[in-house]
Amino acid sequence: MAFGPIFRSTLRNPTGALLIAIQIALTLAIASNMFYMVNERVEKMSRDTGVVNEEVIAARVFYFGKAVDKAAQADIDRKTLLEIPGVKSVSYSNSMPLGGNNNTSSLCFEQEGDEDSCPHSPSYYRSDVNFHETLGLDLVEGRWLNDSDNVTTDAISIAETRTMMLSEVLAKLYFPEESALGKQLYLGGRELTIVGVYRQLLRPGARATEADHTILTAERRTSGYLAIRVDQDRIEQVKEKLEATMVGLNDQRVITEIETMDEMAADAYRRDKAMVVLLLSVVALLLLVTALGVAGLVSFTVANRKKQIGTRRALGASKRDILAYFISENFAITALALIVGSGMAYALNQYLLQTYELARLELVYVFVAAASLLFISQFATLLPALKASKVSPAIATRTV
Amino acid sequence: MFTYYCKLAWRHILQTPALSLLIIMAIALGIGASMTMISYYKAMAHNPAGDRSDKLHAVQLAAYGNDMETWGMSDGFPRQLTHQDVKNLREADLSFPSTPIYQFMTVIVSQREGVAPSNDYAGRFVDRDFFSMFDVKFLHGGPWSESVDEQPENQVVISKALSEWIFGEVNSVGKTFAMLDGIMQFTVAGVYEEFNPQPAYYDLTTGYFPREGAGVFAPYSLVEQLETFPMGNISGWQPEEVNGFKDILKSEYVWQVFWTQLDNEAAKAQYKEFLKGYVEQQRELGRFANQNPRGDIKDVETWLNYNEVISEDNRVMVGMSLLFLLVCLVNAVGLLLAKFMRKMNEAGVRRALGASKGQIFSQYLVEVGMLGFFGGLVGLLLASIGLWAVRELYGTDIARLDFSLFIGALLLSLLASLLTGILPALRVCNSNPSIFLKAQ
Repeated sequence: MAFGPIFRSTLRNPTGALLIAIQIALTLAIASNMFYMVNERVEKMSRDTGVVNEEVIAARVFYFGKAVDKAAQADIDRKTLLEIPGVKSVSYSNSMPLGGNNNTSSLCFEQEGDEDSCPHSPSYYRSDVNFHETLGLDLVEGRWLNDSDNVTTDAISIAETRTMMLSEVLAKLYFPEESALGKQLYLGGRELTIVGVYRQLLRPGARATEADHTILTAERRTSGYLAIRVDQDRIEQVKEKLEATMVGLNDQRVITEIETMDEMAADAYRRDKAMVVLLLSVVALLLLVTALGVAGLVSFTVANRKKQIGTRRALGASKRDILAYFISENFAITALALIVGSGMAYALNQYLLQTYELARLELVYVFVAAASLLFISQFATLLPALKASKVSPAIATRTV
Repeated sequence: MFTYYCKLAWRHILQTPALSLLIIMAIALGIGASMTMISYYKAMAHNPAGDRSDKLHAVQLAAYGNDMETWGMSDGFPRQLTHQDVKNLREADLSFPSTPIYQFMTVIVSQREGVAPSNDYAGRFVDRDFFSMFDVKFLHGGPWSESVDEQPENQVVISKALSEWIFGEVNSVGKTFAMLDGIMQFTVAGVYEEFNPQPAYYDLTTGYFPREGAGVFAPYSLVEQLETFPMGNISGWQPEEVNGFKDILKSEYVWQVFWTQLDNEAAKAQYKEFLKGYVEQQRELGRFANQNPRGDIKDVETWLNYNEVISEDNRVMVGMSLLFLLVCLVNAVGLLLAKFMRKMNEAGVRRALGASKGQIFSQYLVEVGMLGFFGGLVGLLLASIGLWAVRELYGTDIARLDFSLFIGALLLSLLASLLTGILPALRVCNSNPSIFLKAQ
């Protein structure tokens, strides 16, 4: 295929080609950045919680009214709930991964730590010793917290706690060269010994970064979050009956926010999901508009060059030649536009980086967006080009 | 002439229905997407304080020690205050209306048959001035009396919805109900219509756009005796052993907000001077031992920006939707060119019959404007669908199309289409009539 004549005839009347090019370049710049943002959110939402999500229900328990022996009541709760068919484990905790009530404190190498000796601020869970079993956490090394670690406390700070477990990521951050087992760190000024390391457990809330910096401590908890692990096929039944069961055991309390882990995740990631849906809708519309625009402009060019096409046909060009001519013209314009557009994509990303602290655009997203645009642009050319190939040679002789 | 142009334009639109529809849709999609995001943004950027915005001020204190350089937000202030400081500010000998605020969880017992106790209604401790400062509209009764701010009494102000939930009726002034532990009795002093400004600027510590407004307000003077823990954020700059509510009151933890009403520059200057003196005095007592101890006041507008009520996501989406609008307009230029080129012949005839270039130009601009107008109308329809989607996605009620945006969208699409129409219209009117006449 000879690009010479194509190039020259495009140059003679560049408006249409220019408009296609501008549109494609802009679309590439916007779409690649949007793809990137979508991917960031999707990765955040699909993070491993560390929990057997499909088997866990959580609810919040608040006591009111007459003083109740909460410890005794918690034992009764546990016993009664475990009798329900399908219930495997029951636990009380101050907070839940992706849930509310986040306790955060700096974790330091020294008691009176300055910033250098307190590199991170993990979230810590204050749960009873069944918590790991209820959530289905995985042990990496050491042991789970047990009754020997249990403290009874009504305190707001962790006044009596002596031991803790770290997430694997956190353990590696503090002790990159050696095992964290048996080491001491200061959490909120209290010296705690590390007795075990678990694979993964997310923080409460929906933080984007350092979300797996978590600590487990044990205490005889009797209110806050109630977590229950249930056989997957019984989860809805148990969830429905939970409030009535709990209030039936003791009516001096309110049971709220009864949710499965999946529902909790949906709540926590609501904003991220909204962003993904909105971005994807705009990308889809953007590509649609661009496709229609290209199709419109090519048919405009075809209409403009009717006589030229007729002449070429009269001089012996086949229908295929005409088709190939328009397809390659579009290919050339699109390819040039995509090169310019990649530059614009990076410029836009630079701006977003500085203004919104977004991450740097990776090449693969520009590539994916460029490839889909090339396909769309070529596809949109096909129909008007086919129409052009059907121009009768007679048209050349009819006028002028 | 204008009506004639309109008639011509309408006929042209009908002659090239597919192309015209594409142009209208391109403009409509761009307007629809950008209006959706701008409306949502505008709702978030709303300042519900109105003309009280520059009068109400949130007070901040850099009340940390340890010779620290900075703590809290980027300007070195924590967003909240310690109880010690709130107590001192509250008792200061100043005549400005002011109120501390913190949110608490409470169980409330309904007196209706068969309704279980609930903790769905959030409570807040405030002073009497709160109601006038934040413009709470009463249906029955009013705030508790001034003396209650000094000598605590179990009085509360509740919402109409809560009154109906507890008593089954709106006017419950003078009645009592059980709250907090479900045993303690409180008397209703006033019932208000609804109080849920969006964003909830008076207390941003537990969410910016709460679906439910505050349910019950209780006198702040009760705080020390009721020992009710706060629901919002508690943070501290040093490890402190806290074993009960009394320890929190004495601690350096920050967990309350404090508002004061300063009506003019003199008042602001006076308050700033007071804060300076207060910081000095506290320093002598050994507190505020940091490198730059100071106080600050921020008015509502500043406070909303400071708390980043509008999220980054929303800004990004507004920018992206405007870029999308740009692509749609470039698209419209191309399609308009294609459309007008088909009408070259007619333009040639009209030129030959004596129409000036200016007349042809304005005729085509009228046609473009008409397309833009239709595009804007369809765009508004799309925007209301888009806003419905936004409300569903974010679980909020605030994103709605208002009248000024309606007009704005129409003007924007008209302006945008006229801008995009200039190039194609120029092409048409500058064409040489003879070529097209020959081709007839």
